[in-house]
Amino acid sequence: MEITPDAEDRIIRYLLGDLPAAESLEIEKAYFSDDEYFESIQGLEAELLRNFVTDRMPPDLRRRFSKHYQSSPDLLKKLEFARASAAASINLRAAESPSGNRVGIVRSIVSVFGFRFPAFQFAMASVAVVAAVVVMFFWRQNTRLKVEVAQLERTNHSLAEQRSPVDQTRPAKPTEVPILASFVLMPGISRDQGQVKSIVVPKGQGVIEFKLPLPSGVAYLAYRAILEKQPNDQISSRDLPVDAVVDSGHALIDHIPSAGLTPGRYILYVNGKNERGEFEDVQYYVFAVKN
Amino acid sequence: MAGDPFLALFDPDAREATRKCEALRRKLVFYFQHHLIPEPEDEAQEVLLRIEKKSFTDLGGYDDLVRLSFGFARNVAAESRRRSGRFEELPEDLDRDIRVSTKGKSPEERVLDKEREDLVRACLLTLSSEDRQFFLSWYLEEKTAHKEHAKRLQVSANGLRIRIHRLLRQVQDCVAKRSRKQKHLK
Repeated sequence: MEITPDAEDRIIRYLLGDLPAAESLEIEKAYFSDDEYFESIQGLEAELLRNFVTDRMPPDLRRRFSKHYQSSPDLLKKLEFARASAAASINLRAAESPSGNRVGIVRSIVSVFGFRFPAFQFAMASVAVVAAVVVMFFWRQNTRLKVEVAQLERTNHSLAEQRSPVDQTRPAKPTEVPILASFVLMPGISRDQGQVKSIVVPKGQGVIEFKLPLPSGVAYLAYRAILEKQPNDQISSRDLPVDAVVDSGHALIDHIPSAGLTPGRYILYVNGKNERGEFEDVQYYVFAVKN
Repeated sequence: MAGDPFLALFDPDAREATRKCEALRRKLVFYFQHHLIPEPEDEAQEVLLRIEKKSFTDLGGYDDLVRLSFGFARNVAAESRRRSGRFEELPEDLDRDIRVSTKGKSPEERVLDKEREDLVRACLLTLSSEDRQFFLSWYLEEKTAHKEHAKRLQVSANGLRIRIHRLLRQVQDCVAKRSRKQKHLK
């Protein structure tokens, strides 16, 4: 049985729980007796789920859909699967066209977040082009600055080597805060598992070094570390320097002043800066400080 | 010939009987999901059990069986609603940390999301290249691209819908299988 546009509207109302009982009964009798019709209904439901998670749904329908599908754990599972499918599709499409097909990725992203109307699509495309130009400009600027910094560092180094004899008689100033201890934190899966890493902070002024393994395949423009002490104290939020990324991008190094680590339970969140300039969750690590 | 007397109700051929039984089970689950009945998988199983318990001698074939199962499904749904009306279940996350819930998803939920995404990605890679491209296009591109696909595959819009549903089911089955395997390994 083909789904006509009129029938499509009724089925959508059925899927959203908006159809009167008598009409719902008709649809149910039909899909129980017709396998192909049942598959079409499920296909239509998949379309709705996709349109919801990729933000291609009119506001009113979106509100009704959200209300209905979040009212039941089983319908919510469908939504979660659709979200995972959309995310996996974006990643796969990007992975399949790593350098040669940026246009394809941009088209996918514009398609996912875009509007249906040509005028909006044109506007979105213009914004994407401007954004690409801005990104290119900053990338070039960044590269130029990096070269300048490297030159300045070299100059600085050679000047340091040419210190006058008077300078050389002075005691060297402590320029770096000492690292009192180093720990590797494993990503936290559940706070209820009772496998929280416990550390003891040595006495003295300095920093504790934490190595934070990252999930495989992640790469962000920058990282931010947010330290929270349980139950609800945010201790710090720091943008990590470029050299915090180690092991070919598989881990981060973060230094936390020892004075801030009093006994208690902590969560260290790592956020990554994506291409849109937004920070998103990457991983979290749970540890406890003991006396 | 279907050796199992229950499966023989669906079809004389064992393989066809298994396929029809599974198709009916999926319809029952879908029915219970959209009636917001808790544990739809269990309730679908309950309907099949009720069919098995009855000894039918005068069934006029698969169509009769489907009609009968629909009747049972309506009864089971009504019973479930009566049961849930007797007491109000408290939400599972009643004791959840309010601070965490106001921030959005908890770290555990975010990790689960990532795991789910990785599973889907792994399962998408098991599809043929043509199916995978179709899947990605269906998720990421606009309707015009889907129309082009339908034209190229020489199928109607409805045919395309069925095709995507079958691919999604294939991926869902793969995800469920891998997820069970992962739980078993843990």
